[in-house]
Amino acid sequence: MQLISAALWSTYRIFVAYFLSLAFGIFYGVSASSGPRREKIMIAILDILQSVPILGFFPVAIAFFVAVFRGQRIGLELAAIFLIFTSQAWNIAFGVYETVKTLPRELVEVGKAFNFSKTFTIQRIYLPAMVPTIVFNSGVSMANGWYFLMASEIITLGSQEVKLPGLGSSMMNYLAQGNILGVVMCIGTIVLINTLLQVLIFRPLVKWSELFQYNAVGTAPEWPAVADVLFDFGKALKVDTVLVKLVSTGTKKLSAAAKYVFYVIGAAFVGGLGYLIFWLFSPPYPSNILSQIPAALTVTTMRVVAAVVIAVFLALPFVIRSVKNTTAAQNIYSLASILGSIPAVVFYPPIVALGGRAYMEPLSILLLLTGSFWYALFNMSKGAMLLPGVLTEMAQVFNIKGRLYYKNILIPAILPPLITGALTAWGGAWNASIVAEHVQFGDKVYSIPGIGALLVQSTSDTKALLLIVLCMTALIVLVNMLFWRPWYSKAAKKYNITE
Amino acid sequence: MHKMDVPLPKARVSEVLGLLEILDDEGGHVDLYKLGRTLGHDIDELISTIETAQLFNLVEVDNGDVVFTEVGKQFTDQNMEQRKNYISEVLSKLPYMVELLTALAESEEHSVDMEYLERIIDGEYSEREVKYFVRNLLDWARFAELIWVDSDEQTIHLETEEDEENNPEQNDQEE
Amino acid sequence: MTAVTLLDVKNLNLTFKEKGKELSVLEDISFTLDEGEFLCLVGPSGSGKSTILRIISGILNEYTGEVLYKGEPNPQPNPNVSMVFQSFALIPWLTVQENIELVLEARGIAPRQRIRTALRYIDMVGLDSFEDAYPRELSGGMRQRVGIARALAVEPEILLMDEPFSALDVLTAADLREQVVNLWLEKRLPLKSVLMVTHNMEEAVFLADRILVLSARPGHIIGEISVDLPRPRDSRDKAFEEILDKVYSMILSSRIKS
Ligand SMILES: Nc1ncnc2c1ncn2[C@@H]1O[C@H](COP(=O)(O)OP(=O)(O)OP(=O)(O)O)[C@@H](O)[C@H]1O
Ligand SMILES: [Mg+2]
Repeated sequence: MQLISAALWSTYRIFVAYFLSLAFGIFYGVSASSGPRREKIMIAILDILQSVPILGFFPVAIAFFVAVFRGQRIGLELAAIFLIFTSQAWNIAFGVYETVKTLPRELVEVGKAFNFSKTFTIQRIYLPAMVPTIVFNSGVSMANGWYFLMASEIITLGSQEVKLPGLGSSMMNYLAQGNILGVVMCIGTIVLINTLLQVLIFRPLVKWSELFQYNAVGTAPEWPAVADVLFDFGKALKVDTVLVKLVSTGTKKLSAAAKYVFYVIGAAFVGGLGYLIFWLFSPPYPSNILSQIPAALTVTTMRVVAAVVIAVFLALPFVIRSVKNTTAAQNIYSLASILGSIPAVVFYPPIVALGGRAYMEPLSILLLLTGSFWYALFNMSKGAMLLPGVLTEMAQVFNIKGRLYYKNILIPAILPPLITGALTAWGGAWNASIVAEHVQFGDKVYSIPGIGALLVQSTSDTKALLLIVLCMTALIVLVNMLFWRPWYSKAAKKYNITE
Repeated sequence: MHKMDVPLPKARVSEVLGLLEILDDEGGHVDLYKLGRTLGHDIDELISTIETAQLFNLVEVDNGDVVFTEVGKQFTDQNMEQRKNYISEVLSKLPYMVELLTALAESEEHSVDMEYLERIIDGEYSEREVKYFVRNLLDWARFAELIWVDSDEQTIHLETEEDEENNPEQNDQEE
Repeated sequence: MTAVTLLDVKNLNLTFKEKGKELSVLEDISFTLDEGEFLCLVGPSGSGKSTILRIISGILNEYTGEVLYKGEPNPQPNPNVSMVFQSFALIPWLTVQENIELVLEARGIAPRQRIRTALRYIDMVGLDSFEDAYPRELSGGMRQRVGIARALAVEPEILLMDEPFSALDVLTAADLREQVVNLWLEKRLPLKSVLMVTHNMEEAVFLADRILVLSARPGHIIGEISVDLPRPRDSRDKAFEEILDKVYSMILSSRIKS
């Protein structure tokens, strides 16, 4: 009974956060693609948001919500939902942005040539065109939300720990009591919920969403019952009107008044940020912590890099399976969604306690893997699925096999999605690193040096905390800008196989 | 004043050689519409090919017919070596080509990056048009063995005797 | 007999901006489209043919100059104008019938009437029994039939066609051209005039009453040629070939000094 109530609480939070993410993602994505100036600013912001290790900002966000609602329960709920939201929203926003950006020009022109009203165009052309990205990225977002469930239900307020009812907090309780069966039941529930979601909703939708792909050929996928049900629900709840409103507001040019408000908010934000930075860099400096940052960042970077490399290599065999094999790719997608939703963070403390400090180094890399492997898998198999058949056929005709095939055909062909996979794995691993280096189990503390450990040690010192997160984010963003993005665009240009 | 006055090859080597082939088969004289028909009535290919052949003084248009010039007639009877020599001679006098060759000769490595041509071809052209000009100019220059292109490094190099040994494959890259 | 002028295009000029460069695309384009006329616009790639159609159909509305429809400024968009796209531009997630119904729905036509009209035009282009198929399941020729049925279903007076056959293989294109000619000659439709863009000269001579020849970018009209040949036309016909030669010579004369 307790389990069911916990499961309902968690599911409710994840779904509220998910719907908010959807709304935000559609609005933001559409808005960002509706003008070159907006695009520049909004995509840069999104890039940074996506790179910020969410777990690092948890304490700050919680403090904010708790302060606004003066410690009431609703504040805690909102904080939890917000945290889940931050793990789901960015990737949907990016997906929507890319879809709208690459929407075939003819489709838009049909609307104009046959004089569709604006609402009609949004409803019949823009929204359906977003279906594939939204469905696919929802799998990632869902898994992500469950992965961070734990952190969102146990909220530390100063010295006090508040637990919201839910599977995450139940698991923590069971763990503290040493009730292994309880933990297993919780995990089982999470797996069950996600399996049901996959079987009943996402898998049929993924198959169906192929219908919305432009320039697809071959037989059309069947129309699944779940799509009808969702449509009817959507109609009854007037979701379509909401979505249309969302999109049309997103694409609207700002009115003079709105612009003014926007500038004021922007100015306030920049001012606040400026003040924050000024405050951060004005004495007194938490110099003992500052001096540790470079070394700590270096070790953690090494672990993250190791995790990314391992994740990519582990994902490769699966990716190879899904080349030109839609069924395999869809299975991998479902499997990744289910397994990726297990909050591996939970097992981590007892396992570390079991192995002791001596094994913590490899175990931490393992944890980073649980936070990064699924991203690599998701993105890489998505790319592999879309690989043109001629390439593999050509390889067959000329009997190109083995090393030659992988080196000269397959790897170059999937290099762009491989880089995307590695890039997202890189972000995920950083995020997980925050909980990987410092563990408390019972009354014992286990710790290995690194930026995550440093962060946990300085939660009481807001300034130090912010400085650490800032350094981390800066490093991640810099590497994205100087390494991943250029590499991606070079690879995408060189190995462009869509033409 | 009009943009098409810019002396640049608008068609590829293979297209012009094909045109000469057809003309030769037809006895050095062919109706425009018949030529159009052989090309599937693709007006762009027709215009650019004739124009390019004119640039090299190989054909002329006379009263709705395309005919060989004296040079063109000779050209078709020559071997590959002689053809390349002739093209090289005309090509290296085109303004943009002169500019490119000078830049190549002056640079230390005898090479410039791929964007060099895009930078120097200015005027009222769209990006697509410029890309197209560059592609064709390089096509001809490679045919004439004035330069070679390193696609991995995205650089253009001056063709010299030693380089020929290092890059034996670059001569058969035209289709 | 002087025909009624449906469209009067006057002094169209258009400049696009690309990376800070100004690219002049249309230069002083003026022409008329008369009632009962099949007009073809030919010219090299990039000469602005599609752009002219976009302006008339209301897709593009930043230009200088005037477009008059029956003497009045062309309404934007003009419900009496319809369009066939080069790349078909069918909506992939809608069936053949739904694709056609969509444009009818956008005009506020009631559901039952929509279905009836859609089926009638599907029938007219010879696609009966394919109404429930998705575009991806059709061949290129069949897709363009849907494109044509959709354009006709809104019962326009003027049909704009942007290289409607250029994405099809030669034989399919020839077949579909015949059918368009037949539809046009039958005069069963409310359709009054067609303005078609092509860069296939033979196609233009095959279909048009009059051909307008455009120069390379910036596009301006070099000249026009009337095609006074009885239909159905035969491209091996002597008179046909003469006109074809004239079109070729005209289009080449702008570029090539003879
Ligand atoms: N939105 C745009 N922005 C900038 N330039 C444009 C835009 N649309 C078209 N152009 C340019 O305008 C010119 C004319 O384009 P248009 O598509 O009308 O040519 P076209 O005659 O239809 O050519 P094609 O035969 O290739 O279809 C081209 O040079 C094109 O690059
Ligand atoms: Mg066009």
